[in-house]
Amino acid sequence: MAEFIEAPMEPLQTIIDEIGKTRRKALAEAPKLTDLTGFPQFLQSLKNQGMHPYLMGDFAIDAGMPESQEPKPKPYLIK
Amino acid sequence: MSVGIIMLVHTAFDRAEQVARHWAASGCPIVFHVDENVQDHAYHAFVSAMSDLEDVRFVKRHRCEWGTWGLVAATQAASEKMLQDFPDVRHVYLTSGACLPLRPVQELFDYLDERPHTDFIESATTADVPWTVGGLDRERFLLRFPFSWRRQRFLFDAYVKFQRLVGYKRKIPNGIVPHMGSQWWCLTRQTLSAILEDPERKRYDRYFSKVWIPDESYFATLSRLYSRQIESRSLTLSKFDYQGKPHMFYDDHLQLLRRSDCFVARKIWPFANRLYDAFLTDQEGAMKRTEPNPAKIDRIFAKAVDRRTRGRRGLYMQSRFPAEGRENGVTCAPYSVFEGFSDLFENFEPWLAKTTGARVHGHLFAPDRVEFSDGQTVMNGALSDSAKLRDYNKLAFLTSLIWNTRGERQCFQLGPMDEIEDIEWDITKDPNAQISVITGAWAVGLFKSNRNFADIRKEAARLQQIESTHLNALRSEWA
Repeated sequence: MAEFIEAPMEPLQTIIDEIGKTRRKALAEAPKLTDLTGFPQFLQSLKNQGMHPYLMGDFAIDAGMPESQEPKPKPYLIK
Repeated sequence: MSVGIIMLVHTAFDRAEQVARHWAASGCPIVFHVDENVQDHAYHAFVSAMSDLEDVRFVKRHRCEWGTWGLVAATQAASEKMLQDFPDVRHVYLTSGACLPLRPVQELFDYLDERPHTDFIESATTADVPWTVGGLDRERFLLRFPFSWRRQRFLFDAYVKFQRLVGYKRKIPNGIVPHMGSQWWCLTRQTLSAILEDPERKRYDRYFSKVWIPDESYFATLSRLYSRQIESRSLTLSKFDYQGKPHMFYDDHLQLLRRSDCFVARKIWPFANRLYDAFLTDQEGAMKRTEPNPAKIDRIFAKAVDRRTRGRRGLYMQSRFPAEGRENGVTCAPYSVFEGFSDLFENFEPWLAKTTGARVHGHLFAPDRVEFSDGQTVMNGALSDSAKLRDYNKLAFLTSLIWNTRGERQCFQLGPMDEIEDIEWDITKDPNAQISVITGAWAVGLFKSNRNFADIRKEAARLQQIESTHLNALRSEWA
């Protein structure tokens, strides 16, 4: 998951291309990423409780999630 | 010079008479053999019905059971009668009561006149043919088969097993090479009489009388000894289904039979009125003068056999409910499975639908109900959103959904909170499934939930466990 949200457009494009087979258009619009503010802290809390969440990948607490704080579709535009 | 017709009849005498009159109208002499199993009154009624025709003969009746010597004995008797009573006959054509001439008789005359020394009999060595059903290909010539396969199956099988066990092998007389082929042949007087008058015939008959299905091998083998020129093909079009039984032709096959350009076809269903009407009228229904070409319709029959044995991908029905592993594909079309995407993106489903034009469902395997696209409660093919019905057979539910909506790409969401336990392997193994996973994204749902943290912790542990197992399935060698 952590890896995916760093650059979601590339895998999405691959999946969409596979579905569309014939049409090979670049994605004009990205889906809206949900607000993940505080999610790293949430995972850390789970860890602090002794549950080890590992399937999400590494979310650094200090760095936060710059993209997720205010989802902006613009940077993902591929032309 | 003419063509003599032998007809082996055991049922549908009205049709046999109709066809016989058709042959006779063109001057063909006919010799009938009627199965001894036919009741006497039916036999005598048939004889008297044919009594107004001059060149018609009946021979001593033999019991003709499938796969037994009786059929050969009947053919021998009828052939002898034909050669003896009708000295003008040059070619003898062996037919059954269920055979139907497809082309004007005159065309057959012309065809044979151009090939006066050619014997038309399918004749191939056992090693080279794929026809034999049931495994007795070479062995049918090396073991003895005194028991009826139809009526004494147990003895038949036991005796075969016994002979295999003790390593019994018959000697083939005079080193003849066994050949096989369709018994519906057309032989020249020279070849046929040479077979029947062979000084060694007693030995051959004794040998073949204990061969399995001798009617498919007796003439095919012995004609090799005498024929000047064998065309190894039958002038009679006959098709076999995947069990090796002759294919019946019905009215629906009219155009197909026309296209075959064959002279005669079998077996015709006795009640196929359209076929009898179309082909027994003279030149009107005539086909163009071309070589018989059964290959033209082979492809269609091959397709039919394929449909019967393999069925269509991802379609189950009352006539075809294959066992697991024999489905020929559990689904009929590609579909996409998304795991974690709708947790991570707020508008993933509408976005995906808009971008791809596919139908995007929610969690089809959610515990409380089937989340069809746009909140529908019933999907194509009356698929209900009831979780109970779906859980009765999840794979069948998925198979039906993909079949019912074919032509439209299906996408759905899946996650560890769904009832995936007994469906994940099926999806994983299905080559039609395009599966995309964002691992751990289910945690976003918990993160946003308004629950006590102790519950969240417990639930997170559970979901992580499920997803981890699921990922192992996806990464296994089967996926």
